[in-house]
Amino acid sequence: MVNYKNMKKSALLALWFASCTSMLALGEEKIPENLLTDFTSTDWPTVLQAKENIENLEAAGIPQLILLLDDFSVRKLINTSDLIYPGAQRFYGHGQIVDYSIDEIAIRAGWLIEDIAFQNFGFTGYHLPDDELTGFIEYNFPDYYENTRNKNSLKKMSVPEKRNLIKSLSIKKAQNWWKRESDNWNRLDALVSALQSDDEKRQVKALFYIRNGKTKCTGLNKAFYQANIESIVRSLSRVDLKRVSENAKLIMMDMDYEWLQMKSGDPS
Amino acid sequence: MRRKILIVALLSAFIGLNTAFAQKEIFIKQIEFKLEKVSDVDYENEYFMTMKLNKGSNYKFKIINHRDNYAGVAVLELLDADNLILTNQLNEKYFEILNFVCNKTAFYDILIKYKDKKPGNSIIDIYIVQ
Repeated sequence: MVNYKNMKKSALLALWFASCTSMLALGEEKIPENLLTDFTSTDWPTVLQAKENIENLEAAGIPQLILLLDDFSVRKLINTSDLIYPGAQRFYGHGQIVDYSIDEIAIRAGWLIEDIAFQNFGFTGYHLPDDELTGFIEYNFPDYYENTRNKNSLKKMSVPEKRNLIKSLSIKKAQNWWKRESDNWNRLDALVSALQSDDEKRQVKALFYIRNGKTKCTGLNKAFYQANIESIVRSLSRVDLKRVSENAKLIMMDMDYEWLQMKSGDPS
Repeated sequence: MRRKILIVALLSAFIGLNTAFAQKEIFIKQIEFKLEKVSDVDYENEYFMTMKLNKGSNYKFKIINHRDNYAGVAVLELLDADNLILTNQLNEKYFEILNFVCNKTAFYDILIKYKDKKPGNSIIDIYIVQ
């Protein structure tokens, strides 16, 4: 005789177990608090390590980073002797180049989002020389610039106001992007889309990642590369911009797929 | 006769030593970079190439600026991924000759830009020093 009471109990237990497992899984798909603390810390080696770990979380890390774009605090980095960035006090002639004002937490978050997503929201414009700010806004935020009222107000802006404008436009661009993309976003599609984009900065970011990146991009393996990426890289190797074509050529020359072996995860 | 042999031996030793200690520069590449007009597209204002450099080799970069009276002064950067290994512009100091002893065989990026975003016309010669 079937014991319905026991079956019901077992079903409820299975349901509870399943929900616990999915909650655990959801819990895993977030940036752990200590990692976020490390990323927003002032110690450069700690920040760099945290960045790599968060990048490995791919899509799961982005929602918290989007929230971090509203953090306008400044945490001046220390232990930066081997880092070349806009906030550096001294230049030693060597070191890792980071083209972002990463003392500002919002821009630090923007830097990481752009690297995970192979995007160009404009965060690198914040620290440009004074006389290049208007040109940067014109080239990178045409929707804003083409509005006559905005253009006129830009003429009256001081240098710090222009910098803040670049920061807020970049943040808005990143937030709007995530609103649009969050449901179905994954890093692999983002890589392909950056290579296919008409933004040379995104193309270079994607090519640079293929060539030198060590972080995870789930699904990026030899078969996927050959089926979906190789032809794009080949066409990029023929473009006029050397930064694009030279990087593309080097990827094509790597017949042993050493670039793939460098990446986290288990690409085959 | 003995004296002659001694002189010849001494001369040969001197020539041999001289050859051993003289540095020989072997030309390997010339980069010509002419930027007539500064563009809004950043990457159009730079020269970018990749080059395989070998561990243990000593490379020399010679920079010649102001060809045809162009104002720009070329700033050369040698990069390993996003790491700057070598540059000829260190704060206010500018160098027209750079020496680099490579300690890792790899493809390096060579990036040349003009200081202060000016148009320029320069030649960079690359040698191996032996």
